[in-house]
Amino acid sequence: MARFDQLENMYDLGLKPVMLRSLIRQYLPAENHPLNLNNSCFELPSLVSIVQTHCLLSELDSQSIDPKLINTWKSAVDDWLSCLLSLLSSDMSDKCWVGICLLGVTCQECSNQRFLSSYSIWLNKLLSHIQPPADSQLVKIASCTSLADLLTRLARFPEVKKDGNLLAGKLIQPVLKLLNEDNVEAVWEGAANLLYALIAFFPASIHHYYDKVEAAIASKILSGKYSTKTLKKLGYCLALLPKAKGDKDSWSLMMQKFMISINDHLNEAFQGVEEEAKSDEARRLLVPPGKDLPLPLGGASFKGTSSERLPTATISTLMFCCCKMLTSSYPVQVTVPVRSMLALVERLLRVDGSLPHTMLPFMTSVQQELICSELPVLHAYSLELLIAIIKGMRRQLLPHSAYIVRVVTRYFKRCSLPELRIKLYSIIRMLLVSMGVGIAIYLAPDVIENASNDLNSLGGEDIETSPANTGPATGALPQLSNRKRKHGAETGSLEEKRDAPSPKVGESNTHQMTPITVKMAALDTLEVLLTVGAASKSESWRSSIDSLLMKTAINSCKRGWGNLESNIFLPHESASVWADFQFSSLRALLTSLLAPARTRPPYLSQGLELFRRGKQEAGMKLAQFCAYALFALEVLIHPRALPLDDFYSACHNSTDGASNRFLENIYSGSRKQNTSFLSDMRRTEQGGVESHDVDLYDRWLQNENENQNENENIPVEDMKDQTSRPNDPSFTNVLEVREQEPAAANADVHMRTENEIVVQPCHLEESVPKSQGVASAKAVMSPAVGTNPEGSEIESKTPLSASDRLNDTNHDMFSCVDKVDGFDHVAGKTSSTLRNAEKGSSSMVHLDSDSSMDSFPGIVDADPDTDADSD
Amino acid sequence: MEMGEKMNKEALVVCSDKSTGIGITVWDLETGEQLLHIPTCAAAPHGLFCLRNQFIVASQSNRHGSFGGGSIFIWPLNKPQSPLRSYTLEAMGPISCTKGGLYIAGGAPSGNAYLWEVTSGRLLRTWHAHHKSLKCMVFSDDDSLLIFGCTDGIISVWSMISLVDVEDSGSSPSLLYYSSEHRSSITGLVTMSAGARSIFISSSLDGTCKVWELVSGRHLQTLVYPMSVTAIALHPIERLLFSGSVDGNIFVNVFDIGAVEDCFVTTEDQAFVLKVHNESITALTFSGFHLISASEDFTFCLWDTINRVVLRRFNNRKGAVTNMVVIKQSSLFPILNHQRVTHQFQVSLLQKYPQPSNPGKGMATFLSFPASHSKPPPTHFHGNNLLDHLISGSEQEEQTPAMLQTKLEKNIDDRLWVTSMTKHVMEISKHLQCRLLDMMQCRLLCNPYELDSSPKKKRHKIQSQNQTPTEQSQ
Repeated sequence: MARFDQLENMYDLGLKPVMLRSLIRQYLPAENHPLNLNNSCFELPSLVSIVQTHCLLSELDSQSIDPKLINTWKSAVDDWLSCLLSLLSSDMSDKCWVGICLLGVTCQECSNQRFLSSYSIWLNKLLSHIQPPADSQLVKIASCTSLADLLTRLARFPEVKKDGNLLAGKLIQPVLKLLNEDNVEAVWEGAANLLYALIAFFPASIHHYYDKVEAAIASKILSGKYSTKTLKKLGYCLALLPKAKGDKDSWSLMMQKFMISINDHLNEAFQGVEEEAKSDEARRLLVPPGKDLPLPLGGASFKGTSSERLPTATISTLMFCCCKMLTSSYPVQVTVPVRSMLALVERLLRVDGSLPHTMLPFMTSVQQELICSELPVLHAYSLELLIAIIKGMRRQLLPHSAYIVRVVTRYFKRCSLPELRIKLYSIIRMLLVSMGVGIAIYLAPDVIENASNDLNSLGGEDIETSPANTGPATGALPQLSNRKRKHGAETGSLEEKRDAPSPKVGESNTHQMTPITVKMAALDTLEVLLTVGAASKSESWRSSIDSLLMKTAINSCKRGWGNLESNIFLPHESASVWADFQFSSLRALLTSLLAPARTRPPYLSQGLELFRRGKQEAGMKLAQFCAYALFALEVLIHPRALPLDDFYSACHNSTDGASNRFLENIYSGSRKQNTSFLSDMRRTEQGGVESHDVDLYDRWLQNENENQNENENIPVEDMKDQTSRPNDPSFTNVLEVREQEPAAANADVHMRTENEIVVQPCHLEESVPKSQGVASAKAVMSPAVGTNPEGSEIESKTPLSASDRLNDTNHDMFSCVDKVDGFDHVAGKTSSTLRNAEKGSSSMVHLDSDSSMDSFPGIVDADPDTDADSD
Repeated sequence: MEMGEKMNKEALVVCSDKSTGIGITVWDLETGEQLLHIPTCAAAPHGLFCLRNQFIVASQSNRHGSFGGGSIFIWPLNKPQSPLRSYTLEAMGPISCTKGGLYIAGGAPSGNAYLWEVTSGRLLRTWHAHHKSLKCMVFSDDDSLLIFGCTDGIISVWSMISLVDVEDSGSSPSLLYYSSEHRSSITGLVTMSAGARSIFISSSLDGTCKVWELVSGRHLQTLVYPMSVTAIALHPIERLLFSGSVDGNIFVNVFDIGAVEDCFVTTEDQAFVLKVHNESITALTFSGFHLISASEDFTFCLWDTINRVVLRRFNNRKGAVTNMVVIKQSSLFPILNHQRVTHQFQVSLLQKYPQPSNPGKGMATFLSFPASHSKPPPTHFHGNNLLDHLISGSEQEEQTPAMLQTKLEKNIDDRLWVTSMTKHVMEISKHLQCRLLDMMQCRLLCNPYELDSSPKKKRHKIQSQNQTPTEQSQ
């Protein structure tokens, strides 16, 4: 401990050997000292975590490290290892177990050099513990795990591949022995772990034992007696087994064996619930005519299990195997029997427990009950298989996608178990993402229908008061609170306030109608549909979906914001379901706002408000998403008309230096303007939407009064403009927006004027006199495009529609640049006119503000909090 | 380093439709060198493409033999001496392939369309798509739709899912829609995916380019040119549309598809013009940000679109270039052993006749994402988790059977140890008792009066201590 004084801090390398030694002293039991198992169970994790966080076994070796330190460290690790090895050779099974576990950790943590020099010793030591004299099961399991770790590390060194294969070969027989002769499930699990490592990293070592491994695992799976977890692990190994040979045929053969075995089991299980012809048909697909049946799985012939219970565990494990075969990589190209796999999926999904008429007399109700109780599991696995097929085949599935669409849509109509529905939704998402817009055409109607149903069943009462398909969601909210207020009035004014903010009781009852997880799946699916296929003939459903998503988002948030932080008290769930639901609904809402449409998103202002509120109030993850949503919507509100760089530089080079300078001036001028604009805009906008301050509102009203006079002319001009150019879409847009969406209109006008300002200097330049320049700058203030006299003059030359305003601008730019050649002095004038334009712009902010004012109360209304408070 | 740069450089593949003797030439765009020449090829316009960066595929415009059939040749770029020669029922005009390189579509002058699966070579479908000759075709960005342009100005859009449906044919119509807005032959089709909104642009000899919404077929915009448009290309990132016209001019437009309803845009005045060619433009394409234009005047040019200057002018003396494809130079190099990519789909001869599909037959594929194969297998330890699992299992109430067994073993061990220790202690105490008795006897007999009281107490203590375990054990 004398050294301790010299240590700098916790990063000091000198600390490591010291720490390691004290760990050995503290935790590792001495040779003849008994181990307190209960204590060691608590101590082991902390020991392992200290070793791992401080990299105590890594033995960093570099020039900069003091060689003395290297030696100390080395000897400390030597001690550690000798201590472990002595534990390993202990007679006490618990000590042995601790030693084996720590050796596994050492395999992961130690330096490459040390690992390479001693892996074979370790392997042999560990090997001795899974061979016959060993009897403790825990020791066997731990040895298997540590061996798996050792092999995993060994696989990182390609130079010892040969040696590794040789050593791995030694392990296979003991592992097979564990599988065949041991009769404890936990040991098989350990053996499966080791087998997985062998197949994954040293497939060549398995080659000679291929059939034996297959038989050993197959017998376990076909017996179907063990826990799902163990069977799955074993099944995974079986699915990977063809890698040991690595050729095309062994993969296909294994797959064929799986399929035939599943088929045989199904034939037996489904006796009486499906037509006989189905099983023959499936068989025909599996074994091409004229070809021999392959040997059954595992070599032994399949023995029928008793009819008392269905072989569900076996069938599901075999289907799991198929899934894994499809989704894990394989070194060569293989032939996937897509058609027969899809037929299997369809066959399973078709059986719903109902009895065909012909079978009616042969079935007892007990048999039917038996099948019905097991069917959900089988359906779940067949959906899993479908997922695996989609994942494995990706784009190549195209020839079968029409078939899949038929299967999926047919099943969608009947499927009502929440879990299955969630899976089905995820399949649809995968199809949409992988096949694109082409498949969206076929899937959209069913997705819309089902998702709407699922989401609308949110609460019967909600639907009563606010039908989903009519009217915007703003309507829904006040109505809802009105109803609650009435309710409160009946019970008495004291209870009113308590009642209003806690609508949980009624809701939680109705939620049970459609579980919230299904709703989340429906929301996610709608989100994907909107991203992939928003443009696909969506007119018919778009508005109803938009309003549904808005409604769902508002509903999800009216209870307050959930927290997505993980909660250790919730089993298996990292965060509360409610917060997840909020997250899904907000994501779907953002997509619905962003998805392309022909009109402005009708619920933009509500959405913005929701996101703003979420940003401030919600938990970190939700708030982060809300911030992202605002960020993404920014482009929608203020479209960026960025200059096309190469386009402009093209004119730079085509004209001489003087005009170059002139252009630069324009740009710097306009840029300045833009920034001042933006800041103004942001101020007004935030004031507009976020604040519910009455004073502010009054001030806005005042502003409006002040500007009334100026404002009067504009509508007239607008009208003129409209008559002269009936097709001007931007203008009609403005009108529409004004009616529906005041806040957005506000932004819209800003955006447009902003564009216009960039254009402005060119016009100004053409009309050199200052006074006119000011006039035109004023004209910019009007929200409609093209009221500017100079501008219209130019535009009349080129019969452009306003849509290509940018083109227009550019062209103007060229023309004026050409004219300007040689007029150096003009630049100064422009900059002065620019200042005027800036003035104009600042006055314009006021102007715009009033366009939003008539609807302002509506925005305040839309906020549920204020609503409740105002009571 | 040099190698790496070379790998990223691009090369231009050009060919003509006039005579088979001209063949395919591959040019280095930077140096102007000729990298490769493949003899005997004359591809129809839009009849040349690069498949998966490895193969050059060209439909042969000359008729094959006296039967009037056509042919499609596939050359591996790194081994161009041995092409796959597939013979088709009719002479093929335009051909195209999906982005993933899984399907090839071909159109014949009769208006018939053909669809092959590349891996198996199977002719999946032939159908009469148009009454007039097919002029060009293109797949949508997500490969799910197929767009045809015809000499009579009709554009049709087909659903791939329905076209290649193995089960049936007919249950759902493959034709999504068609449009006859163009008054003259279609000369070019370009797809463009702006996120969820897929659009495509068509150019026509009637002097217009039209912008369409891909799925709904809604006409968004028309760009009007003073001349017939013979070729179009989109700048890879910016919204610039390049349209080559019949008089050799190339018009450049800023292309804006904002929420604009049906409108006409005359481009005459606002577009700027790239002018170098004297005769009709035959093809336009991009290499990086450089435009390449080919013309009937036997030349093709590499443009700096920013400065609007020609960087390099190539002269294809033997004939006008009608097809151009940009490829990576790296695909020309023979594959070295250590970089051999095993995961390559095979390319089969395209079949001449459709064959009944065998439902039992599977579909050849690679089961993994190609990217994950260049890397060594990902190694991660699962031991730790298992270790934790074992340990936590021992902490919890629900214990694994193995853990229980170990505990039992441990208990037995402990019991044994305790018994042996007890025996040991008993022996010792017996021994001590004997000694004590001896001593007492001895002292009582020898020297009873010399004893102090304190040692006596001690002895008593010892006695009592010794007796306790004995009594217990008894």
